[in-house]
Amino acid sequence: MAKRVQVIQKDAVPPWVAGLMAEAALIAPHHGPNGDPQLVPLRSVKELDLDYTHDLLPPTRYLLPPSEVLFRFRNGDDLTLVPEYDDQRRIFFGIRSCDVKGIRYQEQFFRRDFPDIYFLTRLTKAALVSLACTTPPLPTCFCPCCDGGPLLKPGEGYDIQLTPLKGRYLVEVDSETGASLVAKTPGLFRDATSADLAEREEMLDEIDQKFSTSAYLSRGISKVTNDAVPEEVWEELADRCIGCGGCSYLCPFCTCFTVSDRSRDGKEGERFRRWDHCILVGFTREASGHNPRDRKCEQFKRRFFHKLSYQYMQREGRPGCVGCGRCLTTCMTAVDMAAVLMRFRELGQRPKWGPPWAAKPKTSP
Amino acid sequence: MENIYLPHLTKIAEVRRETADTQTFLLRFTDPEIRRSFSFKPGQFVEVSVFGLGEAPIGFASGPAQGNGFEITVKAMGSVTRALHRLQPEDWVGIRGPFGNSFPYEEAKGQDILIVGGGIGLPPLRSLIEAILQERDAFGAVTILYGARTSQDRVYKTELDRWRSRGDLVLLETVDVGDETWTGPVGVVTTLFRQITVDPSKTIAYTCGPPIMIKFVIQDLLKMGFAEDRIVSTLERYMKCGVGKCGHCAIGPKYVCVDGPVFTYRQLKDLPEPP
Repeated sequence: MAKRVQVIQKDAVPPWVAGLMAEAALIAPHHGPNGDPQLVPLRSVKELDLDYTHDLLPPTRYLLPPSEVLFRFRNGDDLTLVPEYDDQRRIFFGIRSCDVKGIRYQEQFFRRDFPDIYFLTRLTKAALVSLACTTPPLPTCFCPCCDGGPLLKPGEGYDIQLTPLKGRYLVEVDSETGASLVAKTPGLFRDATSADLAEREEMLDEIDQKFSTSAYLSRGISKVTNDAVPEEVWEELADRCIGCGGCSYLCPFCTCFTVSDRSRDGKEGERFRRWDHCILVGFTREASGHNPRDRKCEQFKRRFFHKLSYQYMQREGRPGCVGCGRCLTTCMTAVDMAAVLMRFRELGQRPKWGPPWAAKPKTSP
Repeated sequence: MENIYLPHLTKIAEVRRETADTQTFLLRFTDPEIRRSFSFKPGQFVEVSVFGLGEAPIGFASGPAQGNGFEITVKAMGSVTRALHRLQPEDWVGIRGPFGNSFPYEEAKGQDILIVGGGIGLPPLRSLIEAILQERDAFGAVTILYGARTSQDRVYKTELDRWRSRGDLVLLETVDVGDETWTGPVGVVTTLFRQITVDPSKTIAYTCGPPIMIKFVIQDLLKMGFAEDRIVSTLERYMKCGVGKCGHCAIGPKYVCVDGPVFTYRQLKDLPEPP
């Protein structure tokens, strides 16, 4: 496969995209009526607006929807089960590096051991065109310390990666799928020169200086893996969590779901799944009422153990956070990933919040 | 690609009432090809569908060699299990599985066997007991302890009598709360440990029951001198998919549905939520 680096002028992007829209749904950034950037299926090329940071909702929602029908059933003399698969062609155009990593992480999770046909049917019909971050990041972004961005290396999961340069985009193709998206309109592209590549390096050096949040993921990993966070610190953090689940709803890595049936008369109906979250109190409640993880602290620890422990890194191949910063945006009580990691760094020191006696070690009676 | 969420269809062939809230169902796949090829090991489980209500994970209750269908024993607890109790022979039941690991079996050959069951924890152990009894000579002494809440809560009364009358195993029973219909011992199942002699160095202990019972059984087995990897237990967790995707049954880095539900105490004690 030809891994080529090419260049497209900014004013040639609309005709390129128009060609792509003719054969697939284009999920791309668009500024909605309230001005917020959203990744939505575009209705026309004019709606495309690549001048954005990122959408509060990760694009993984198009591959693992908040709710989806698994199959419909009809119960009569014969019982029939009819599964529903979504094989629509989708091009994710202009999504961010962190979200590409999220999608590829979910792909690996849903491919492993027992492949998930619903997710994988959508994904195999999808193309990922990512957009490297050269505009100033949001104050909540911390991808550099999570190996989540702002730029992807070849092999990290994009089909095409665009990097904005002055008046043009660098176009890196990393798969057959990516090559096919460029091949339709070859006249719009030219091969990149060393000057193009040098300009990108300069822009990236500049961007690296602009991240204001540093989350020290590696320190968090060692603390959680070695069980080195004192129980009272977990309690202190979990006490502040209101268990709304917002962090999980917005996480490009989270994959948990629950399954229910819907039927009016028991004769006809559907089985569907919808997102579920380990931070919610009922997540582990059994039919008997017994709940092995009924304490808020245990639910809170569970979320961070899954995302940060070395045990899970061995299982999943990487930590469960790309530093997209969405949980920082949504968490009302500041117990998001970055805040928790910062608290771990202060272990042994007096916490910045709370009364002075909170830092004193508890003595047993 | 196979659809891991799509159940295979079975019909209820037989329903037996065990107690006021517990029934045993004999299920047969309607597809003769699946009926022939379907096999499982004691300790594994299936996801049982009542269409319109949902799915619940239930352990196999019958021996693995039963070629003509399999049995599950179900206590009416939640919406799915209550709905299952309302079904009749010839009604449809969806089945996915078998899932999970199984009780260590081959490695137990030549060893003595101690089985400790509580309440609705006996059914998965029955699957193991039937497997052991099919190859009885391959094992040493077999001791079965069963505790139920009251004499009315005892499941498998016929099987218990059959096992007791065999003469090649020891079966002791107790109930937590005695009444006029019960002439046997009264007390929790661990009180039966005083009545048996086992050699912990050549015995493998299997236990299944409510979490609180498992906790005390393990404590006592350790006191008796059982090594941590000679204590085999099952974990129950709320689970939806059975294939390590939905996330509900995860404890630490383990998924009960794929890494379990059977664990040795050596594995259990390292989990963040040990019994």
